[in-house]
Amino acid sequence: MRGILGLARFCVKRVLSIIPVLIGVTLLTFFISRVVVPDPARAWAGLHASQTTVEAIANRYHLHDPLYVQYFYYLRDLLSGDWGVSPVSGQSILENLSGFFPATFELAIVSIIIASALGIPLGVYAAVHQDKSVDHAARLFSLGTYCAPPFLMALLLQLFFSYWIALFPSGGRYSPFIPMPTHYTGLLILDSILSGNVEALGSALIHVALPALSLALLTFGLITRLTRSSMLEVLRQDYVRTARAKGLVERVVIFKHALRNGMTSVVTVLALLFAFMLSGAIVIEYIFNWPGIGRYAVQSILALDLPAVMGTTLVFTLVVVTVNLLADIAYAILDPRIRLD
Amino acid sequence: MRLTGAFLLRNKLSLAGGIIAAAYLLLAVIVALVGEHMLPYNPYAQNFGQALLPPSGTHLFGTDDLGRDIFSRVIAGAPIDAQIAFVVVLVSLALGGTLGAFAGYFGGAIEDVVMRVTDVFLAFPALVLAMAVAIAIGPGLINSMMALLVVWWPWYARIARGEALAIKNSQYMEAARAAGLKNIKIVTRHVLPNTLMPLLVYATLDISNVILTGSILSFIGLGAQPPQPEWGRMVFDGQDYLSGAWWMSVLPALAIFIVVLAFSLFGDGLRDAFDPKLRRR
Amino acid sequence: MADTLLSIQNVQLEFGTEQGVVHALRGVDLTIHANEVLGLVGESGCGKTVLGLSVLGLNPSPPARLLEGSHILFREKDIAKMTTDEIALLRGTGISMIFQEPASSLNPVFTIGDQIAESIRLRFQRSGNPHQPSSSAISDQVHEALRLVKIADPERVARRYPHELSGGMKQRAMIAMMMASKPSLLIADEPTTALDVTIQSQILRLMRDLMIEIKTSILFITHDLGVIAEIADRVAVMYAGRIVEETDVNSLFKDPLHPYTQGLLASLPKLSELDKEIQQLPGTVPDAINPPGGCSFHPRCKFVMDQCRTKQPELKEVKAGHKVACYLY
Repeated sequence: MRGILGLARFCVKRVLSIIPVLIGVTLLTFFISRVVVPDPARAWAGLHASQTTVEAIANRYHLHDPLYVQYFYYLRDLLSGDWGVSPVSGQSILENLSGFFPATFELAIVSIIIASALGIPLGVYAAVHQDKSVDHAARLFSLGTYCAPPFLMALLLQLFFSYWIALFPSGGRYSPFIPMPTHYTGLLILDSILSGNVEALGSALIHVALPALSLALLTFGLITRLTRSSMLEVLRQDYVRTARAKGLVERVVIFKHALRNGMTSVVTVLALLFAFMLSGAIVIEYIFNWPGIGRYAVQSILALDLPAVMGTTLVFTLVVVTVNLLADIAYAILDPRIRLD
Repeated sequence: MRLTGAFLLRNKLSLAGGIIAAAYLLLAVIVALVGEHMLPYNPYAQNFGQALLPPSGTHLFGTDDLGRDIFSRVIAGAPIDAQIAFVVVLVSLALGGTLGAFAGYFGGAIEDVVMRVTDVFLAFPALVLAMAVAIAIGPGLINSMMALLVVWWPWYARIARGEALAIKNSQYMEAARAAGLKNIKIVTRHVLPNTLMPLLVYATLDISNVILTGSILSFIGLGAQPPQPEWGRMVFDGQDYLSGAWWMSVLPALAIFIVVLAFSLFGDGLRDAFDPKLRRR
Repeated sequence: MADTLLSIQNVQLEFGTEQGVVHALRGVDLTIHANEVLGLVGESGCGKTVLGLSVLGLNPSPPARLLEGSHILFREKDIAKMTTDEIALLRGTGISMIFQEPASSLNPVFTIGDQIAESIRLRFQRSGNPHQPSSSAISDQVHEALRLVKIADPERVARRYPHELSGGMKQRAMIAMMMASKPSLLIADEPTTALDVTIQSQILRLMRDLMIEIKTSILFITHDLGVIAEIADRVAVMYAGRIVEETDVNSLFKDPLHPYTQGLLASLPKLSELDKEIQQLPGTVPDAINPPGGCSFHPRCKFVMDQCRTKQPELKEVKAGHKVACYLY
């Protein structure tokens, strides 16, 4: 019972502590979109808009008022869900973002699952067999994948498995010929499973394969490296020796006593990885024409659609901050010493 | 030190990385100074009759959709990423590092403010913030450099502050204070130089990160503009021709990969060499 | 003569390091009997901890190597010849070990109760009992184990994490954990060194009581002669990887034979001799990579003779129950 209370108190404290950060984030995006941008009114109205439209926009966003007034309205609009209308597409930015978000979320989840399933065992194996050839191979491979630009992986995979060997589609999230499964979550894989639609599941899986693999390869290297160094640190600890001294089998020593301690840092790392992964998703979604917020970001940039870009910036950052918060909480659950904080 | 196979292998790789990185820098400097005259082909010369040719004896990396020789363009583009990376890292190191060192040493309100501000900057994923700033100030090479600066300085501020805190509380500092040195002298003569070493090691590893992020910025259209032969941009341009002329995208992407890997390997080795614990991990 | 529980014969162990080969154990002979506390005393670096770890095969095995001719006989089997998996079967229920730093030796992410329960479950598994004990049965045994180490509120303590307990409590919990599997031999490596002096006595008394109750022998490793006096039945003195003297505790203090033992005892400050200067042993502990030839103690010995420099003296019984390795006898 005491443990749970401590945990709850920790959670509340952490949530409260991110509020100033979030305010700071909105301040920075505000600053960029109103102060750094040379002509905010035109940026919102559209490059070819008439002078009257520009004036109307300037009034709508209070662009003639002092900055602190502008910020007040900016924040109010953000919180009430009015993220503006794109001057390029004429659509509500928030609607677009929420429409595209599930696709990115699905891609990210599948990638993290693949990357962890590959990276964590490899990291543990490399740590247990430190300095043997497997360890060196693992380290080199993980460094290599970390250093590869996201477009390299994506393009190579597309080239090999889509163009040269036509195993996978070269882009898109779903076949245009198969009816979509019933909408439960917006995550096509989940929805297909929930509605028992095998054909839909097949289409969803075959489309997510290459993008998820590209994204997973990017981050898998980092997961391996960090699991490995975390495990090495843990395996050196006295309590691992105690576990052996008790008579526990090596398998239990590593997977129960050591890994549980190593996992705490891996979890925090996975959260940091998430930010890294989102950046990669931007490129990979564009290359594979995956309808997520990453592709939306690139298309907006290419169209010089500033309001849309600022919207995606906010969404990405909010997601990263939330994921980091969740990771902190997960850390506190895994390591009881943290709750005393 | 015992020359075990592992030690040699790791250091051989580091060394190899360092050599490649040095070769790349040398190439970049030469191209920047001498210009395009030494290149086999003019990187800007369009020649539609020779478009989309595969790699061969005459065109080492093939040609692109406008008939330009890709090999020449790759070589010509070498200085671009190097320049951006070095400027961004050095300026971030100088400004961010100094700010962080001051914050760490003097503590109190200064430290709090600097920490809050870096917290906010660091809450954004690097690429995302760079994108936002770059689109606000407009596409272009110099602009992308500035966008990257905005994103990069907080890391150095953080590290410098941590180092400064450690030094401030160390006995070495007690001695300096006991000797009566004034604060400003302490910071410039003692704190800054001591924070410099870890920062430099970090900077070497960081160069590869900047090159990577910078090339992605150019890929999505915010950095170098055509016809500049920046590698990230070249990858973007070649996308539409991937199935027919893969060399347009893949080869510049490989070039980026090799350079980033080289700097990373070298930086890794450097970090291990300077690791005070000298533990082999 | 009491039953021999553990027989250590000619154990030699070396470590490969970057500076060279460290000869940690250079022919150790030791015997532990049932129902006794054998104290193993020596300065830091003499190899006593390494010896303790060697019995259980806990020295990290690529750098550490047991040389041919080493024998560690327990229950008619030679531990020195076993594989790690085979030794693992002995750990916990046959031979157990507690360590100096309970803070780092207990797993921080599991409760005390969980960690003790592991030992209990292990004991059940190994006893060949086909029935799995219920979780409430295990709980009861956990609380019983904690009561055995004189912890007043076992239910509460079992729910705690290690970082929530004091040093003394942690060490008791460790002892509970290692005794729960009812080993025949407990190796205790400086278990009280990290504790306050008052807690120290309590723990020592506790260990003696447990030894009698559960019929476990203890190999008590320490550098502190005062602790030896309190807890040991017999004592072995270790120097530079070898045993130089072995006898019962009273004889050791009244009649020390080896010059090193005499030096150790003389350097202890005594309340009854406040006016005398503390006598120090001259010189330092020998280099483990290049130990001196012959008897390792000869550079510091005031009785040194020619043969001491060339050949190592054997550990011989020179009086009833009193062995020493020295050419003086």
